[in-house]
Amino acid sequence: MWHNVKKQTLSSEARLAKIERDKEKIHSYNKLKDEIFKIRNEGSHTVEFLNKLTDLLGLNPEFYTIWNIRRETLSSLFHQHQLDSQSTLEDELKFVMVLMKRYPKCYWIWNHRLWCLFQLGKDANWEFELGIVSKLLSMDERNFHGWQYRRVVIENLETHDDLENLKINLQEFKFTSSKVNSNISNFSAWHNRSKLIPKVYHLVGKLNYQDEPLFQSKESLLLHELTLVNTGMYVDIDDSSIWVYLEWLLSDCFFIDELSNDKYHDILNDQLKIINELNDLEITDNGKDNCWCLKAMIIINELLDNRSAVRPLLEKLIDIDPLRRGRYIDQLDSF
Amino acid sequence: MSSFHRAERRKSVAERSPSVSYAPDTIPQLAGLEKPQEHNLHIGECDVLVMGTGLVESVVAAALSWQGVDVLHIDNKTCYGDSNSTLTIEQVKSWCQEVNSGRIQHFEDAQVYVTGDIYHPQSKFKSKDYGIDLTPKIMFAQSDLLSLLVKSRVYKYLEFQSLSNFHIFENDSFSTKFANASSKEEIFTDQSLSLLTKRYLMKFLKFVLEDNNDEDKRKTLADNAKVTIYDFLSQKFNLETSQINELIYSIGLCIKPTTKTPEAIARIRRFLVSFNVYGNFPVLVSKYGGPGEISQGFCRSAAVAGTTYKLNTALTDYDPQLKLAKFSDKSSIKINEKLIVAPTQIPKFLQSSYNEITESLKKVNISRLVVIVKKDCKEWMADQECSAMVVFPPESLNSQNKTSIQALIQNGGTGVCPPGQSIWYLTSFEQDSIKAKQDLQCAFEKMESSILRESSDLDDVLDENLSVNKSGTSLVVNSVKLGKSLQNFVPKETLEIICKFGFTQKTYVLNDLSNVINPTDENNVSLRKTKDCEDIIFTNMPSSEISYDGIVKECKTIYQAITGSDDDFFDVDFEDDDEFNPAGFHQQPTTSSSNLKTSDNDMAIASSDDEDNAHPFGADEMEL
Amino acid sequence: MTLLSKKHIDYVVNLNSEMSKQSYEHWLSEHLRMNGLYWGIMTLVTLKSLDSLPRQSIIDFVLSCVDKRSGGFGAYPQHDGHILSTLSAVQILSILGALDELDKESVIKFTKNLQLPNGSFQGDSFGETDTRFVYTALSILSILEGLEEELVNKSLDYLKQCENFDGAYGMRPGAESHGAQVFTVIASFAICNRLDLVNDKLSSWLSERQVKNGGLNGRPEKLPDVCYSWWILSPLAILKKLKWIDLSKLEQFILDCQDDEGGVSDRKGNQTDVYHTCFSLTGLSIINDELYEGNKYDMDSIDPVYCMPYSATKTFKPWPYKS
Repeated sequence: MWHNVKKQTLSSEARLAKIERDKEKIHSYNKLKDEIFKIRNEGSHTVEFLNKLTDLLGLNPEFYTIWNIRRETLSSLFHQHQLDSQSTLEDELKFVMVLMKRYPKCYWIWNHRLWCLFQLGKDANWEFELGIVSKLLSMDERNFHGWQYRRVVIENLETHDDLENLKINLQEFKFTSSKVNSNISNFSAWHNRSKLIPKVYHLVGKLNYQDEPLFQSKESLLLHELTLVNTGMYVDIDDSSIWVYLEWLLSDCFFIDELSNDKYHDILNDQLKIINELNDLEITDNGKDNCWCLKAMIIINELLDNRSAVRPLLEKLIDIDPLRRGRYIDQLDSF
Repeated sequence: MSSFHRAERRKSVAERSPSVSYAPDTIPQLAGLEKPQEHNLHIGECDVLVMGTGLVESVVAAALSWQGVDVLHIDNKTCYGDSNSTLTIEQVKSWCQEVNSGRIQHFEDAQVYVTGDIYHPQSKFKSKDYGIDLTPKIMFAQSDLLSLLVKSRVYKYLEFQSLSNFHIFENDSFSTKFANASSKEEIFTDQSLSLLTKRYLMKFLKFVLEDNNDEDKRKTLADNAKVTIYDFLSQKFNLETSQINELIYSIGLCIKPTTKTPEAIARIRRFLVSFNVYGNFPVLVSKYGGPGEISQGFCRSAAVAGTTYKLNTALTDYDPQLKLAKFSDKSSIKINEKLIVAPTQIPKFLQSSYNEITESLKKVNISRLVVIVKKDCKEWMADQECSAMVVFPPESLNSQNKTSIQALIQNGGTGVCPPGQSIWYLTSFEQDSIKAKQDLQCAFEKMESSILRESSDLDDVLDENLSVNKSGTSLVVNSVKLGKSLQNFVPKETLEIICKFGFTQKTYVLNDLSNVINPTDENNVSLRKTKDCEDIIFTNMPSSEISYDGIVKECKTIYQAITGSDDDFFDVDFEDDDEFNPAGFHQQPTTSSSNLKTSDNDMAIASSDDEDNAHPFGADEMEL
Repeated sequence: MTLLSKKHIDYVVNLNSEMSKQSYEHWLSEHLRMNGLYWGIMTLVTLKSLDSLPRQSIIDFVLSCVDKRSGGFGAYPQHDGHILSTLSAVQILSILGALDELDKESVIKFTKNLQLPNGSFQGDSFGETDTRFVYTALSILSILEGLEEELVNKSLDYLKQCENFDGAYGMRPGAESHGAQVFTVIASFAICNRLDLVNDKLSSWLSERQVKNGGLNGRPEKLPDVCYSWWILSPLAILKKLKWIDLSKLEQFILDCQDDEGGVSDRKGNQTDVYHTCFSLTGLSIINDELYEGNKYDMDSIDPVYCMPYSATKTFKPWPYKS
């Protein structure tokens, strides 16, 4: 599958040249592949066989069956004590790393890496994995596999020691801060933040941990996050990430349940005021309301039970956000 | 004293990057590049004769060669680079003499002062330790020349370093508010900007970065085609003068307040899109010298592809009927196709043709002041970097400068001078050359007092700053120091100057590059038709542009004039999968300028032992 | 721009030609061959041209990919059985009306065995788990009438855990919401007849995926990609909220991603492939059904739950099965 690859047109000359070049490549690739399947069917597991698999995976790391055969072979060689599992697996991780650098988006490579680490059990170096995945996310900040891998790494770094776990997750929280600072559009980081906040808060409470002022009360945490989001709104009003995160802050029971009703209403009203002011600036600059402001106002008014305020906002949205016109009309009808 | 400058030369690209780093299947003899060319040219014919080894000419020679064209590339000087040369101090001196004696056209009023220290027998530093660019330039990380360097593999001969700091002089002080920080991140986290300012800045940056095909953007630009960028920014984005100045002159590197919105937006965009291409910086500089070094890289590539090189050789006659060219070394060669002639290489018999085609064109003056000082100026540079830009917007100097002054600072870490020293390249775009000199001198003095103040009270400032800001990043340190006004500062020491060198250059390339970007047979020298000789194509003198913008376009224009199309311009399949590796950028200063050691390496190069140009120097030397 | 039906048909038919076999890339992509065949067939089905491919040789190829060790299908003869290629194989045989040629019990057993105690499924005995595989399993079992109460309930429990605060779903519990995962979860709910489990916020989230140029993205602040014309549009169709986005603008975006030589790419001017061709055209068929009663594009209707033609899915036994 091609993603974001510009179309290339080869001249007929270049095409013929490529066919000529490919002939040899196809021949040796197929020869190697056939050999591997033949050996597999014979059920023979040897170190030389492993080398053939290395060669093929170097040519085509997407070939999932070959990864399966490799794992079968490794397991069998460990079982027969022909190879020392720890040192072999460590070499295997190096091999995987070489491939990862060349094919950072290949799912099967990540999969095999995890298999090796699980095989290593307590000998696995998860801190090192955390370093790798941080590097990857610095190059490709929204890589889906990268974030998923990071969560797996964290799960495996966690122990039965709550204090240790708190520190690990606090560090993760700070990691999301740095990612959000460097690009507020990084919703992957906002998402992870929303998962980490309740987790860290819970651990801070359980351990009565005093060193982290931000996590002493849900209210201060909420206000801190709102400040961040409000800055984001001013920096880039059309960035959907912050608006999605704002809705979470204002409506999730994690924050709301412990707030008094009055306090909650105050926070909502303050936020409504900030968004109103921002929307006024937009009207001055562009001559029209900003859709994200209006959508957020709808959410806040609904939370405040100001149903009467919602209808005119929806009516405006029908005009200024024509892509989603049908949605607003439906929502109006439901009044 | 005068005897040693005869064969003086800097280490060549070839010496710094031996050919092992670049090994095609067959390496033709690098005639003239790695081995001195024989006394006479021993070839009977060639397809294209290129005269002048400036950047454009060298790229064209390489492009043609790789396409199978037989090229002879000569230069009437004893070193590579022509108007783009990177020169030693001695070479600068003789260059000044030649300019002032009228032997090098399009340059005027060359003046040089050199401290006697350098000639002291015990002096640690020699003339050869310096590489002074006649046309200092910076390269945007996203630019056509960088792409060409990658595509042509010429980057392998070069080393690049990052440049992040763009300072702007205003209200008698230097500052960097957000030029280093023109990213969302800095605007998002900068505590000193109000939410409102953040909002407008981001809006503007977003507008600039919007796809150029976006309808709204196109319309806005069309509607504001005649509006100056200053008015556009203040009216449409409510920005304040200091922010506007930084956007226009520092990020945009515009030179005058009347710059129109579309041009300025294009310039600002070029800076912004270059961020994070290879790292958190917008601009690169090549080590050991700028365009002079890159020209040599392309010459080397051309030589690999079969171009024949000979320096210190001039065309003396050309017969258009027989297509026969005669040279100063007494050889004669048949030219099958075209002659490409740099304006500094024009033989007498072509002078009238050149005068004729340039008659109606607007001439542009570029005035430069180059100062080598005994300070590394680290205070101006980002952590681990060796170069910085300083810009003086119009009206910011006591001389009431009408156009901006741009200054590129490079210290020993870039290999252009010994450690502990730096070269300041100041450029003025003022057309009145007397006024230009005043502006340059005034800007120089501001820089001088600034660097003296900063290096003297560095420790105080650091302490003060550390107590204020725990994070203490170098960025913060810089802006605090540079933010201090110069008014109350009385220097305790004076700045030690090694060399001061100034001149004026003329060109027919307009400052906005419009006649390079959209060349016609009306506006561009290379496309103007010569009446008596259709085989001749003249190239342009270097433009005033501080970046390499326009170079590739100029090359393609000439290439197309010869081959009929630029479709196959550097369309070369090098058959190696070697990718341009950003890690190959040397962002850290090399610990020493070991490459500049004065070992005399005689096995190589390009220089002309055969002709003597031992004119006594001194006549043209005076302090500016 | 118009729909280049004829070009797309030729494009698909030529994918396995002698000509394309001359390219190295063709041989490197064997591991996707079964999926590719399904994508090609769906392209042709949508364009009412399934007869452009030889039916019997397709069936023969599919059956030659059975992995006897596992009971599932590999992507190519000799490749290991995997849940993704198994679904493609079952879908192809179902579309061709050839399910009888299949050892249903063995495929059902293969699929069921991949469920883990937490309700998720793995792709094969070595594989990762992912909401995709839950859908894949449920779809296989639904087509083969092999659903069971405990399996369904455990699957639904797992899928619910993948819900995020925005109302959408990630690939695993804790993972960020993603358009393709939303399809797999909503279609799974539809298969299990449990659309009541859907969060009210989801339709809004889906409608926010449309960007200025009409295309759909898979996550906030990402570029549009023509394949989301299926992954986002089908859940909107299942939830009966197609009007919540501008279908005409999406239609234009899809048409713009066509290549003059046939095939569709992720975005205008990029390299085409059969994956993007399939999911842009199946998406276009949903738009065609919704906007044009007269069948403007002369397309077959596609069932948003299975990504197969209604002609095939109408015979599937709805869950819960009546005893």
